[in-house]
Amino acid sequence: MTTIDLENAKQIRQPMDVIIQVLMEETATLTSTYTGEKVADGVLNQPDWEMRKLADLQWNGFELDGSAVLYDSTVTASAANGKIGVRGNIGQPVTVSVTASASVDRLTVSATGCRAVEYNGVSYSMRNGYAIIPIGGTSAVFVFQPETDTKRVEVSDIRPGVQMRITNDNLISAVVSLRSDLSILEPTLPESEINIEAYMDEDYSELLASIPDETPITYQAGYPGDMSPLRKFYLAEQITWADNIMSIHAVDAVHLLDGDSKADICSYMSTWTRQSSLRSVTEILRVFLYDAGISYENPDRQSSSYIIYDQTAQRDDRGDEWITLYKQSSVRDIIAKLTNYLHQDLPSGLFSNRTNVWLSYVDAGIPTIYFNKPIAKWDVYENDTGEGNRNVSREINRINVERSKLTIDNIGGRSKGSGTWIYGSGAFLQYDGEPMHALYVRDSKDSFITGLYEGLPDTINGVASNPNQTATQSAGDVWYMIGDIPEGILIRQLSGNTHKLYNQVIPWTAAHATLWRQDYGSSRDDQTLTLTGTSFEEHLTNNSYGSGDNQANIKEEIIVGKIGTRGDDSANNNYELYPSGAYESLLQRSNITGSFTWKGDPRMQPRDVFTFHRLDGTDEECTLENITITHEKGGTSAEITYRKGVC
Amino acid sequence: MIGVFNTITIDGTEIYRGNDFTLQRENIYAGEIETCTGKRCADLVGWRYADLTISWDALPQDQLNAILALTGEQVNMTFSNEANETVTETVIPRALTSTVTRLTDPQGHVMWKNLQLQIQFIEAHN
Repeated sequence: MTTIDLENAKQIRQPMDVIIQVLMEETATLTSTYTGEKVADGVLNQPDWEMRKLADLQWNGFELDGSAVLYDSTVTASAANGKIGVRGNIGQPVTVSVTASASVDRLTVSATGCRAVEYNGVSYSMRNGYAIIPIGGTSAVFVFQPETDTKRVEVSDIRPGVQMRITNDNLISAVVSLRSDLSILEPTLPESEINIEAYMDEDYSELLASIPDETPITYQAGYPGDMSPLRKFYLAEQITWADNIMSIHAVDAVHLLDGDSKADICSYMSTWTRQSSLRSVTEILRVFLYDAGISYENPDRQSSSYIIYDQTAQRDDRGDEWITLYKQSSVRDIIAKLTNYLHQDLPSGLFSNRTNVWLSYVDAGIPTIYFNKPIAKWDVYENDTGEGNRNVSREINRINVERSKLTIDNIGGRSKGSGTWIYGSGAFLQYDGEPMHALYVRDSKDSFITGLYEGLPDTINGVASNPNQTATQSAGDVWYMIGDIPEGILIRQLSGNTHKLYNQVIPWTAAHATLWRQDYGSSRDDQTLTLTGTSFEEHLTNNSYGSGDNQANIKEEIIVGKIGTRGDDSANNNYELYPSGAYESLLQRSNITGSFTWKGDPRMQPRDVFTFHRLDGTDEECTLENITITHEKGGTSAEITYRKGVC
Repeated sequence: MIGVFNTITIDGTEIYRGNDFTLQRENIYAGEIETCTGKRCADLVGWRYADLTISWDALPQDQLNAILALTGEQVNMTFSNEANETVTETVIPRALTSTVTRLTDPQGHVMWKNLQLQIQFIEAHN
């Protein structure tokens, strides 16, 4: 058990430490020299390292528990060893001269046992353990004055820029709202935020006014040795200052996703039935995130290229092919929808070493893409929770479609040629002015969708009148699906053609339409998508998908409630992640949600799964939707909302 | 100390400690929630001295003057605590109760009898 767990098990808990930092860093390399009597020189500029605790026979002595070590100049400073700052003699000031490689506006100096630091004839209070000193040059000389005649100055860190620390000593309140959205339909990707009020000794009003938006604000809470992961937020508005109290409002990186994607992006993947497809979708997710400004921590993985993965994989002659068109639209919506669909358990043996697909994106200050179904990570006892409530919403078992809102989408704009083409004027359906998200072409080889849209084949059968239709297709083989794959259109290609897999996601432009005309029998062209074929063409060249009488037959409702079949054709390795698996998974999500107040655990993350130990003795797994942690008056409490089940 | 008597210092004036000077500590809780079963959970963030009423049988005129001069604003009070350590706390004098019984000792010193001063401690300790 960790310390947070131990403390949370108590009725009366020790207060948590909260560490918040405002980091407006400047770029410069610092070199320092120290003058005067001193005990030890050490490494500065490693702010994340703890100070090494030295046995001090001159000062207050040291504990006999072994936590303090004798100063050993041969032990190099490191994260594990800690660092030695510059330690002066007892009651004596320490003078540090700093030279910066480039002009810096400010330096942040940190020290303990220090009352004030003097620079340029001005004395700055060190009551909070640090001071932010305006420099406006490349060199500075600081004199650190000891707190009392019996204290030893330990200078721990000097860094360019601003590093403002807020701890329990000066924190008035910090409210951290970490959010996700587990709605079954139309989920959003909500922003997480932090609101901070803190009392500062010095007048920082001028400094704060110069701190720009997007300045990182880090947050951590917990107990020594068991702190939550460092969450990073970004300043959303000017820090306000009144009566030495500063108010900070910052949001997580999701706010970067507010804009539209760069272009229509067309992704071709062998099927939604394979692991490669999952990888492909994941990579697409990364592209959207990267383009919006959220990058990998590992720079080797950073790429803005639309080339998603290697082009060596080759599709074999089975299954289906899909093109997904992500129309230029809100990145936030695209990601919310993408990550909402691919949450499902898989039959064994279909995906090597994979028993589930659980793609999700969570930010909450730590942007992360998850692949696997989460397992219960936390235990919450209802006995310890207060003000709980539980809601049961109406079960969703169908999606209503108003026929009057179904229109033809002319985005293709190509007329039919003599050869093969797939993107024709009016080939796509719109619903309520929005492109329909999936156009489903059924292959006679596959039967998995028969259970999906019962009743639909009789309603959209305009294709039957298309002279290009092959004999193998019967009326109703073109099915239009109302879904909301992110503003995109899915085209499933018939099987039977030996198309190769071109692992590309290309920006969709009108020019690309011509690329698609290439003969499927020709050799592979890595720069284009070759997605033509007789049968394929026949379906998609139909620009009168439901004209005349047939169109009138479209029913008001499309029932997608209980889905019986899901393409679990192991012989064909043909498992359908989307749409049938996705919708089945969605509709099977619990309609029970709830909320409660609790002591709080800052390590918790939206979409984490916890075991909820109910008062009646039963246990249930729940997925955490939102957690709001409130640190106030030194105490911590939390409000949690959840949805039952793993979703 | 004044002579052999224990004293406290309020706002810089040394005053007899009083015959009733019982210090009590009270805990400070934050983040309190009441659970669905009625249990109260909280973080123990610190303690402070509980409100205190100091009473004297009698105080000399100059010490009474010092107490009367307190205006209700926060002042420092120095006293010896339970562990007999001298500590200084920031306090707010809340109320002074006194009778008008005045007596003069044989040496001519004016004394006031039966005085009570209510003190609120405002500093929290971790």
